[in-house]
Amino acid sequence: MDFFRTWLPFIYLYGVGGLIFFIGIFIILRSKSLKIERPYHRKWLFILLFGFFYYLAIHGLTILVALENYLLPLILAIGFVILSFMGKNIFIKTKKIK
Amino acid sequence: MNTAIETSQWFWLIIVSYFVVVLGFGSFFARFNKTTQDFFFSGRRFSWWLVTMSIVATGVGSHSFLKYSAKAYEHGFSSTMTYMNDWFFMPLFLFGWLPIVYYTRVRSIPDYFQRRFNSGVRVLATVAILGYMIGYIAIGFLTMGKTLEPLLGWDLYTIIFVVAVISGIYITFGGQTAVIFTDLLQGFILIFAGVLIFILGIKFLGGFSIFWNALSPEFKLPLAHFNNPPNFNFVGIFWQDGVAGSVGFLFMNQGLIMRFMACKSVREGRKAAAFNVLVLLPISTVVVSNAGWIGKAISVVTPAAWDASTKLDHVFTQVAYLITGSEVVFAFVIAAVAAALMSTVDTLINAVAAVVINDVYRPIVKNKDDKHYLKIAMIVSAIATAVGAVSTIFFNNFPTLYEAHGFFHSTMTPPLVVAIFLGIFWKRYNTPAAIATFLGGAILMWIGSKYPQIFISPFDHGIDFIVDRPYSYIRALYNTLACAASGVLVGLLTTPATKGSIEGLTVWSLDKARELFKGSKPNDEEGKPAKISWKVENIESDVMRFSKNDMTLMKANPGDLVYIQDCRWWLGGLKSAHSVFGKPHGDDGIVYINHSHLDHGHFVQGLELKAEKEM
Repeated sequence: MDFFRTWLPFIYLYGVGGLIFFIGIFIILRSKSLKIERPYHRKWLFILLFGFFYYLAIHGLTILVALENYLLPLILAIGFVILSFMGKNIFIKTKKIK
Repeated sequence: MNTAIETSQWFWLIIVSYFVVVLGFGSFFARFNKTTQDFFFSGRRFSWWLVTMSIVATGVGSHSFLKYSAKAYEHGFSSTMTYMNDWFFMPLFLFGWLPIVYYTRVRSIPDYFQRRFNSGVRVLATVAILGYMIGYIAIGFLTMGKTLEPLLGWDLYTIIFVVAVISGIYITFGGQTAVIFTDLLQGFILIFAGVLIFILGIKFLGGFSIFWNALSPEFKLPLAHFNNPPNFNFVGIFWQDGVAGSVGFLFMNQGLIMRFMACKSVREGRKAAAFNVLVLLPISTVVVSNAGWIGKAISVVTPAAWDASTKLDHVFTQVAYLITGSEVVFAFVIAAVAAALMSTVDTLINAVAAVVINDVYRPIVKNKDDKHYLKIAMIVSAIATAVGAVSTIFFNNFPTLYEAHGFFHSTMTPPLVVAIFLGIFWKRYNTPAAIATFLGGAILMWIGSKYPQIFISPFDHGIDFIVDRPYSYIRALYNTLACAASGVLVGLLTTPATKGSIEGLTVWSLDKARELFKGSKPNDEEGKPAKISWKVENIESDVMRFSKNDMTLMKANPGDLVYIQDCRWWLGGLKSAHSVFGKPHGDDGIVYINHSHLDHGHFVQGLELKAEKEM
């Protein structure tokens, strides 16, 4: 299977989709629609970023599994879970930012 | 009667029983509609979990089981692509569009256009949105007809007529509350049915490893080939379904917007949307696609069991018939498909009624009491059902349902989506620019469809040109850019709207929107909910009076907004009311409400309530 069948769609999806997503994050932060100083909004910023990488992980790992590579997806999935918990602690449990 | 699949009276008993239950639900919840606000928006009362489950049934609605099972059988796991793109737009939806529509209390999407621009743009938006929704209803009915056609052996239009009558009855009398509760039930049923098909399919095949090994690595890839074949490629579907379709569904689907506006607060709306996309959409994509994967595996493992002449649109029904092994289970699965189809249709019928009443009827027939508008809303629901059923004649001319549906995404969605996006996020975007988006965009789209090799080919990403159906999917990219270019160009060349005229209507002035919603400065101190008993007092004013200590617990001040609901969480806010904190009293644990709150909330004597400050 060539690159057009395996990884190019993934790169395009998270390249173009990522651009849309991070422009969206930029706009809501810049417009103060999402106020980073509020704990409730910080939690939502974490959820938004988590969701992006969660979908990226689902697609990336399922491509690896489809290509019959089982060990690497397992290691990456565990890594993703650990990073998510670390990220949650950074975003949500941080004291109120002045 | 000549039918492809033999069925007995048990099959039809289960199907009819299902519809009786659905009708019963609609009739029961109709009693919660006191005003047009209830009929369309359920009085802003529901919890996130109830709304998110009902969204599943709406999203995984019309055409999904048939369309995705067919694509899954043909192209494998990449049939899941369209359900897995929505998160890219969530920042803009959760912290842009959702709070704007909620806090500005717009009654419909065209109503937003009136406030943001003028009545001319509202008319353009109304025409576009009604055309979009009526077409969607028609496709829903058509799919239903095609699903039941091989089982019943009846004429397609007879089936559509029967389905339209049943849908029309419960939506006409039930309104949004009926829709939410029937969709809640149907959401659970269809997820269960989809998972059941997967489990029974694996069992039929002899185990998961047999299923997995029967499928080629290419079949198992979650994304399609980048630009080949022309009728199913990644980049075309990304722009048509992933971008135009997803944005259209999230931002301009009046039915979905009304569902979020039925949430008790913006916070609950955000939770409902996020949970839906993070958890329920990945499950839903497997639910609607897996029959195709199972069908492919069966055709490889036990080719004798598989009818090689099965039409793609019949893959779902064929697989369900093969693997269920019991007529009762088969009937249940078909009822679930009926649930999915009807859930989309009912939401859209209610949405059409909202648009017609608020954007067409109310501006013409003014100063009538709310009962009059409620009665007209019911009549409009019935008419919308009939028009949708008649419109199936037009859509039946498309070669497949997939193409009929694609016609909407690529032509009806771009002007509205671009106008909404630029309206929310670009302060400079003004009335002439919005008109240019609709009219200039429409002209450029028409030119593109006439001369695709000149206008669309620069955006084709290497997709082959097919004479019969040129650039079926990637044209959505051209159409979106054409509408955006028209709007941006005119926006840059004309005078921007004054700051005061768009306050609260863009993402840049959400604080103002919240202030307008409340009527004073919002109180954002985080308090705790209070459990209280209730007593009725004979007052006219719309206030609820709590004790000083209870208000301190909730961090509330007189004039803040309050929401009270029956303590039983599983009611999801069905028995609830909104009001304003009045002057405090001294009786801890008691709230004084008026007769109107009691009438609206249906509170039960002796049962506690939960109160929380909104803002």
